[in-house]
Amino acid sequence: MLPISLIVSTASIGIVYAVLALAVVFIYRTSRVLLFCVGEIGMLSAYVLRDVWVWVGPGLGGFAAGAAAAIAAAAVVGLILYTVIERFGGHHNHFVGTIVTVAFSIFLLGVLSAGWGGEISRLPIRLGFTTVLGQRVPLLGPAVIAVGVVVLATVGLALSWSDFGIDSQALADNRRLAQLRGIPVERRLQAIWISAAVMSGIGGCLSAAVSSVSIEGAVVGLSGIVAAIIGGLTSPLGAIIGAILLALGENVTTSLFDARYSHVVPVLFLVALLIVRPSGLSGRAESIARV
Amino acid sequence: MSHSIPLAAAAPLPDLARPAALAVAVAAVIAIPAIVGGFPLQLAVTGGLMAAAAMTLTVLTGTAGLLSLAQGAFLSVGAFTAGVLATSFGLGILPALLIAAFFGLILGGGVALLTLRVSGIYLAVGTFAFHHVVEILTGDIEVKLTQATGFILTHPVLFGLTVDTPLKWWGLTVGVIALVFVALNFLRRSHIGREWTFLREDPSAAAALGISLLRSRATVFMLTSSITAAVGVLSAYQLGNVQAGNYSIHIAIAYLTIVALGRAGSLIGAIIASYVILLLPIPIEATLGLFGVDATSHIAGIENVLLGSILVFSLLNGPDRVLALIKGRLRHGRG
Repeated sequence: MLPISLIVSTASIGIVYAVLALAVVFIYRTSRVLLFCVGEIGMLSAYVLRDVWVWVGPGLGGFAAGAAAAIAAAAVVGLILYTVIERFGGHHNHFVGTIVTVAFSIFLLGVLSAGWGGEISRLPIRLGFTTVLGQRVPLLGPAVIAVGVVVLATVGLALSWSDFGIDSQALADNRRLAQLRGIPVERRLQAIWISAAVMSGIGGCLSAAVSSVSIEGAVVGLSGIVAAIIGGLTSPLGAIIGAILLALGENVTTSLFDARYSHVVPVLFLVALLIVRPSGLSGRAESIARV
Repeated sequence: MSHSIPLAAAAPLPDLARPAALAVAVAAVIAIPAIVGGFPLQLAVTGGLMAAAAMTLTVLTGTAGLLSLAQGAFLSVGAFTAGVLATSFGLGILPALLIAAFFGLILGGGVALLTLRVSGIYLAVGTFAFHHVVEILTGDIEVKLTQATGFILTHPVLFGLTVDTPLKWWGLTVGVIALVFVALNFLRRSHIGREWTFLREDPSAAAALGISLLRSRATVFMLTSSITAAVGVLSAYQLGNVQAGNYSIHIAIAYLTIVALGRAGSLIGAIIASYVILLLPIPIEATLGLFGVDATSHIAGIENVLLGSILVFSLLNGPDRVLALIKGRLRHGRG
């Protein structure tokens, strides 16, 4: 039987990747821009969460204040990204838009480095242990999974049932037609960029909860991007499946070989996909330029 | 017909004046660091080697339209080739240059083949994956061969001449810049270069006219990667050591910033932008010093903030927008 802790660890890492991958998919569906700075937004939020939480106090109030500040910080970055890419013409050229997000990752790394230096710390989480099937498991893992599932379910419901979700699907299909049908395109795009940044922030905070708050932690964004690519970049469900596959691959590699080699897994996934199936699992990447 | 003689005799003067002024300017740019010496000369050498690598990326990205995040990887291939050959085989810079160029050629061809089915953003992702593969491999080589301390390189000997002073390095760097500039300029103007541009502008039309995507993409990747790897050897020798940590993804992004700042496809722009990016920390440090901020603890972060801002500004046609704004204001003022 597999140790419960391994299953919980795989699921919690998979959830973190899924939330980050969903942020990438959100942006790619509507703007055809690959959000390279997803990990950096995540770590910025994690630092803000930790600082405010420690400053207010270690209780639930401190956590709530920290979470609100972290979400606000991510939302501000989302708004800036929206303004720069959508308002100043970055979306006219998808390549330029993507490189702008790369530039933002550098910018945010600079902000993290100038603001917090090389500081590595843990979030002030005080959760105990529980016993599952006779095995002692830290409660942190299930807590991360629960938060992640709530986020994914909320996004799923919002996409399927709310006006915002339906409008954003219309935008993803045909922006011009959506505009002609009276959808407030600019407002919806603004909301999409902010939502994606907030999802990146939540993903970063969850990642910081299972590992640590550090600048190096921003590398988790790569796994989120790879998971989104595995899923085909336009499919939220594909991104979640991609995230679970990736987490499984990393954890199996860590258990069988060495933790060092787990970093190779996303790269191998990427290389294999580029050779075999560039359109990802869902095969719905409408705009892959084939020449 | 007789009136044509005085016209022909008068015309060459302005034609000659421009190249002459250019030659004087180039000579001055080369001579000034050599005369000043010291730290500025070292900066000139570092910037010159950066410019040589940036020129290859501007051809790949600007001329051929292939977005690559593998520039740091190809530089590290060159640097590690130099490091391994010097410490494990006792070979000097010349074999290192040849072997690194060969590795660059092969790996560049590999990247072109691997990413043949994709372009645009997916191509960037492919080169990003390649960067990580190289990063993992070079990290392992460093751990296994040097216990993670990195390779130490001594002064290189090139055709019997030991390059052991900044002035000699500057001479070598000027030669390298000139060689890379002439070679890339020639290639861009040749039918090969025109194929690259045609494929960037209209791949379908180019394919319909019989231009092979595979050959064209492989050629541009192989040639530029080969030169980049060779520049990696020179940079490693100039630095005196080789460490995997020196070739992070940020190097690739810094080079993209250089290309964007100097206008993609412009060789002269790539050279100027290399120096702008290299010299950027100096005014930052000085400005922070004016406000009493200890620059040493924040400089890396602020440098990244500025690098990111410059990249965004250049990508979104910031310079053109500012110029248009100034022109508009001036016109408005006159009106």
